Amino acid sequence: MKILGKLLVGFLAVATLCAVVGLSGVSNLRDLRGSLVTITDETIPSLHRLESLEKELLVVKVALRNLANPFVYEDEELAESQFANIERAREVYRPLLQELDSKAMVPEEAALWEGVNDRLAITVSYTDRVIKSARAILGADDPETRAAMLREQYAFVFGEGRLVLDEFIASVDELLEYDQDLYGRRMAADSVAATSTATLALLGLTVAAFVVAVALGVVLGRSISGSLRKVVLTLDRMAAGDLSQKLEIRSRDEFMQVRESVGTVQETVEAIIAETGRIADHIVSGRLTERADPTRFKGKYNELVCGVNETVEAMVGFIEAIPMPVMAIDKDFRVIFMNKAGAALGGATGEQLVSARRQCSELFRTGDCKTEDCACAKAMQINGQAQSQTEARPGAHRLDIDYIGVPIHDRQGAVVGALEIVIDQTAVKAAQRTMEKVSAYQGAEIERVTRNLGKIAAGDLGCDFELAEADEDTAQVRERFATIRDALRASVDAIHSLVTDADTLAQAAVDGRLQTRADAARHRGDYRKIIEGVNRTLDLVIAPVNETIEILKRMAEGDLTSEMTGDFNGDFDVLKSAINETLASINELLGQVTLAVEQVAAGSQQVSQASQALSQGATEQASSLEEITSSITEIAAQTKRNTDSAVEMNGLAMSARDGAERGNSQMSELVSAMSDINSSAEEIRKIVKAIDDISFQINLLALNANVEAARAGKYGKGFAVVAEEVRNLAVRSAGSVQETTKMVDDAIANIARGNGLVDVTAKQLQEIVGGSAKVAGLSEEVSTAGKEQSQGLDQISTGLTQIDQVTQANTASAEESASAAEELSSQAQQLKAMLSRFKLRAREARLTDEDVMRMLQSEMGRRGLSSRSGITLRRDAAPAPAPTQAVAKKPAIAARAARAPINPADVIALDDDDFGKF
Amino acid sequence: MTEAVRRDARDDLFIDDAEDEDTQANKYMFFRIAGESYGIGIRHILEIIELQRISQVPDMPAYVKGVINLRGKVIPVVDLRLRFGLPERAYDDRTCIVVADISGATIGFIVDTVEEVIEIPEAQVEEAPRFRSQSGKDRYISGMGKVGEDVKILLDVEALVRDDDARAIAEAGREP
Repeated sequence: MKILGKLLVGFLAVATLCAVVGLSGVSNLRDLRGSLVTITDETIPSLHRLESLEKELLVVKVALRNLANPFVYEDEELAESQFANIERAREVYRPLLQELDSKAMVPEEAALWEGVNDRLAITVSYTDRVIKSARAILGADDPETRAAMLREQYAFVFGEGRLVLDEFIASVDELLEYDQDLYGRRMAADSVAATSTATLALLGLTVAAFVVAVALGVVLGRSISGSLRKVVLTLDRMAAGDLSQKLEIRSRDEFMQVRESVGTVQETVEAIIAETGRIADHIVSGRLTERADPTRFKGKYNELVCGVNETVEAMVGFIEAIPMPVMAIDKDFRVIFMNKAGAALGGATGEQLVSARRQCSELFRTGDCKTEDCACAKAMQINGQAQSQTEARPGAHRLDIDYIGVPIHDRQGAVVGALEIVIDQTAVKAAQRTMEKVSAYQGAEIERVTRNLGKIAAGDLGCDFELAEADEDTAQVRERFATIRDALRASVDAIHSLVTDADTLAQAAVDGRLQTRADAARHRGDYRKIIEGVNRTLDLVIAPVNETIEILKRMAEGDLTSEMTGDFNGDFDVLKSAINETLASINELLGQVTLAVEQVAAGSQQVSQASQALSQGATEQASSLEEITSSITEIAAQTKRNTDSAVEMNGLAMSARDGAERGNSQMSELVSAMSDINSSAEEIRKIVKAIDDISFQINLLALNANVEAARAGKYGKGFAVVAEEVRNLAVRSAGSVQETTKMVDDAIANIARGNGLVDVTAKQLQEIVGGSAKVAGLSEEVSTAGKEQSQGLDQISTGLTQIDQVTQANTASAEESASAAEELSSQAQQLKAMLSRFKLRAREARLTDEDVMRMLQSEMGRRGLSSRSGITLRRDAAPAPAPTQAVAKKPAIAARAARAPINPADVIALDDDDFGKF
Repeated sequence: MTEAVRRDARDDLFIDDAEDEDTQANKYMFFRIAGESYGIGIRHILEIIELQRISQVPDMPAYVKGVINLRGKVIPVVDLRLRFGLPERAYDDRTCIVVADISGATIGFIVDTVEEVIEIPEAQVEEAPRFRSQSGKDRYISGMGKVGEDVKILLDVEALVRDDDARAIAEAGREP
């Protein structure tokens, strides 16, 4: 069965089940609708009629009661309205009764309805009677009859007929209640039960339909998806390259066709693979002429195989296009491929060579053929690339070749042949030989040129202008070297003429002929520049030289005012500025010299004056020195006497010290004696104390005895007298003791005082000893000092003698320096006259005397002399007359002043103010 | 002095034995406290001893220094300086204890030193001046004895222990 059939059967079964379920539901709904119609159309109106009936009956009941009331009859209209009410009620409920009567009823209901009908008849007759009597009452004119009738009416209504209507209403009520119960409860319950039954049936059918549908779906789905899975599996494998898996489907539906199609595809693909594999085997093993057969395949497969062929063609085309012979051989050295270049050598096409199965050695006939040197044989043997060089003789050709052998492997990696690539080196070798020859020629000629250039560089212009002979290969090179030789010759000539001119100029310059010039027009280019430069140099040299000569001439004449004014460059400018600076320096120097000479002239005058003053001072100094010497002699005699006195005093002081020391030792003895006395006094005091104690005891005893004696009455009287006497003795001895004690105490006090005095005396004696020792020492020092003093005085005396000599010398020097200063002054004048010959530039030439003095001042200040030292420079300082006066007043001070350590050369004059200090 | 003794001795020889003369009357033993001389009637004096070791007795007035053992008999001692309200001073080798008998009680009085026994006739004794308004210290002064130019204070020994405290001390010294 086909898949479509299976699906149709399944869906039909499910549709049928759905129809059954739907029909069942519809029938149930119809039943439900029937019962609903019954309720709305019959039951509810019937109940409604019963209720209306009951209501109308109540109206009738009220009207009847009213008719029993006598007051109603008072108003006839009211009574009539009662009749009208009853009539209208009757008209209303009469059709109700008919409808109810026509209604189908269950037996119990019918029985109740029977009861209602019975009551209806009774009620109608009762009502008619009441109405009838009421009408009669209304018609009765006689009040008595009317009253009687009224009473009868009342009695009837409230007596006999009182319950008629009530019972009727009760029966209707009963029926109503029954109906309500019947329709409201039982019928509702019935319809609920029917509905649930229908629902259950519907549910069951639905479930059954669902189960059947699911079962059908599962069965159908499994059968289809199983087949699909197999197909997918097979296609996946095919996609992964596995064609061996066949599709195994046994069902007889559309999957049968799928299986057959897949099988066809697999077979086709396998065939293609087999064909391409075969071609690949051939190509790999070097049989590049083999091709696949595309006619066996159709459509895209045909294109695929054609594409493989085209790929191989393209590749082989590249090899064919290589302009050198490429050849493939099998293991027996038979040619299996030869490209166009190779075939052309053999004089045949590649196909002809391959189909002829010729051996390569027959074609190329190289030196290596059938030897171990054959690169192809080596390549096959070592399974790697090999290279060799040899000579080949294919056909009529003779070639130098490099060739490379590369092993060819089949697809299993086994060596099945070799590929040979031949490179024709014949032309390269010929070119190489020509190049070597040219190179040798060039080498020789370049060496010659180099040698010539070296000579030129070294200044030797005797060059070798030969050229070697050439053959056909070197002719071209020789031409080039000829050009070089000619150029070289021209250069040498130019240099030669330049050298000649330069030499001429140099020789002229050496000889001092600066007017000589070379002809620059004979030279060209830079050489001309050189000659022109030399000429210009000479021009430039001459100008400054001439000016310098002029300046120096003027200097020789004593004119120092001129200077070089020309505009020069470089070293000439330096020369110019040097000469100008020299002139300026000489100007400056001579100016300063003039100044110095003037200073010297002024200074020498000062020196002359000062020297005269010095000489005078030295003479005075000498006379003062004599006085000092005599004073010193007197002092020396006095000192001698002092020294003698000091020695004497020293002896006295020594003896005083000895006496004092003796007194001191005796004093010590005295102190110890006093101490002994003191201890004895203590002893005496103790004894006295003992005596005093004893006398006290005696006194005590005497007193007791006295007391006892008194107590003994008159017999004790005598005893009392004795006791009294004893007591008196005791008192006396006590008094004596007291005196003794006092005396001892006095003695002790005296001793203590004596002790103190002794101590003081001892101390004083000690001081005397020390003092006299000091006196002795001092007097010794005095005598020593006196001796030293006299020695010192001797030295002073000697010194004075020396000073005297120096002073004498000073006087002589001062006189000499005075005469020297005179001479200096006259020489300075001479120098000034000499300098005046020079004509100097105006600025430094004139100098006032004030300037000269100021300069001298500053010069002295620089040498560390100042006015504070009492020496100042005064232009108009006359030889000072003051020192003479000063010496006259106080010779000693003058002598001291003369001794002051002043270099006479520095002393120009003494300031007037300084004399006040003396 | 020798004359007087001799005369007294002669008198004694002529004294009638029957004539019982009171030899203790008008005799006073004088001692010194704080430079002042005081006298006690000799009849009260038992003896005069040098200072002995005093055993202190607790809970007694300050002037009761304690008790001494006099030949086996315990007697209280009173420092008269303190009794008179004078400043205390250290005892020395002249300090004595005057042992007195006061109404049968034996009491020792510590004094600075003892002097002598002098007889002062009654005519030479004058009553002590009364300064009742003051602290009443003179109530144990029985009178003022004139000896030559001097006036000496005579003490009423019984009055010294008339006070309650003093009496208690006296009781302590009384013979059992």
